[in-house]
Amino acid sequence: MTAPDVRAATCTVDGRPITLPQTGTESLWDVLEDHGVALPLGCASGHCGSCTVLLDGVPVPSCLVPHAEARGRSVATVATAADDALVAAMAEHGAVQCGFCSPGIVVTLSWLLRTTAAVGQPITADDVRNALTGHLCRCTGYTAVVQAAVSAASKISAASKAADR
Amino acid sequence: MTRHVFPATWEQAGHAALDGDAVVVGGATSVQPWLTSTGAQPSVLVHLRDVAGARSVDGMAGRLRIGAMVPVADPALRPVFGGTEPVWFATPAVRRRATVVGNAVSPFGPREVVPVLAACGARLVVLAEGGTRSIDVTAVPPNGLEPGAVACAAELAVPERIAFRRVALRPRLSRTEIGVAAALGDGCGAAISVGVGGPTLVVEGAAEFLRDPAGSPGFAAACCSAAPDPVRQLVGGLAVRVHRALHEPGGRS
Repeated sequence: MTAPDVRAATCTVDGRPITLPQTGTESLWDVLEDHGVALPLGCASGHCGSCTVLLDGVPVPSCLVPHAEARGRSVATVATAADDALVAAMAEHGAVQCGFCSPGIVVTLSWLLRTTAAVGQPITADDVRNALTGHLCRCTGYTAVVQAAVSAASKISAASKAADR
Repeated sequence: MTRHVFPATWEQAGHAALDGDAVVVGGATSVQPWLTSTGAQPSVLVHLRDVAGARSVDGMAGRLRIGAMVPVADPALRPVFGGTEPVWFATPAVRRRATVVGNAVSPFGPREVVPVLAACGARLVVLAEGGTRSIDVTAVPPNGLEPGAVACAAELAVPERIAFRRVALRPRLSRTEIGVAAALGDGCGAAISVGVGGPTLVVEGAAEFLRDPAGSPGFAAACCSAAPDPVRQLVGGLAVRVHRALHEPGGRS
């Protein structure tokens, strides 16, 4: 993959190079939408978390990012940032209802699993709740989401330990 | 149309910030919502992300120098926040992007970290047309620094102990209505904040009461004398809790 060029105002989105505007005040979310990347937008002020993406591997609400801040960086949406074990666990636990908040939640919790459970660190329900701060869900009450993440974490940890043996 | 510039040095950043109604961008967590909600079209956004040294935290002789791009969640800043990430500040995702220096000078939102910084005796290093100067962190006007000025860093004492108690709608995800912060250590003291987006006021003469384990009443009185009338009782109550937290960290506070 070719490295994006800051001065040429490009970034990659889910591994695909895209051109960013040279001027203007649109957010990264606006530009993603212009490129056909559909993400839910709730508050447009960084409170609800529904538009969260990974920017250079770190979760951030895309509504908070000026498009120019993405120059030379990689953006991953739920399409590529989702952890399969988490998605399966969320389905199993009924952790999705209307689904509006789910893309952002999946991006953040997948990042949490990759940076903790996958490297052998335990994840508690409190860790998950802390990670969910800034993700508003009006349907689930979060309980099933937390259960799903803890369940996925234990499966990932077990698989990681088995692979180490 | 708004242009974007990415200076590599502070000199370039200062030069770019002189351009019309330029807006300086650190973590952008308050700039972008302002742009989105108001439709503002400043002539240029000056992005600090590539400025050499802007992401560094340097410690020396009990003091810290925090670069303008250092985020609130940076582990190197934990001593300033009592050994943990400041969970009272926004959300984890915002804390990973919002910068300490940007929050302290932002004209777009409440300066949530300022009481804590002020308790550590923080000063801001500001680059402006006339050269570089140092200003008290509480001295930034409500509408931000003057046009063309760029805050490069914050310099503050590393506290031996620090406590911050506040009144807010909720423990998290709610802005500070009333806050009292105090720290023990050379160059440290106390500060109160009154009102969301309101001023942070340094509490004069607090240091002697803070060192004294029995100095709670004196500290509360000093805080009350700095507070406006309607909130004096609240500030006094918070001050007692802060003093207790400094001296009985395992106790209820």
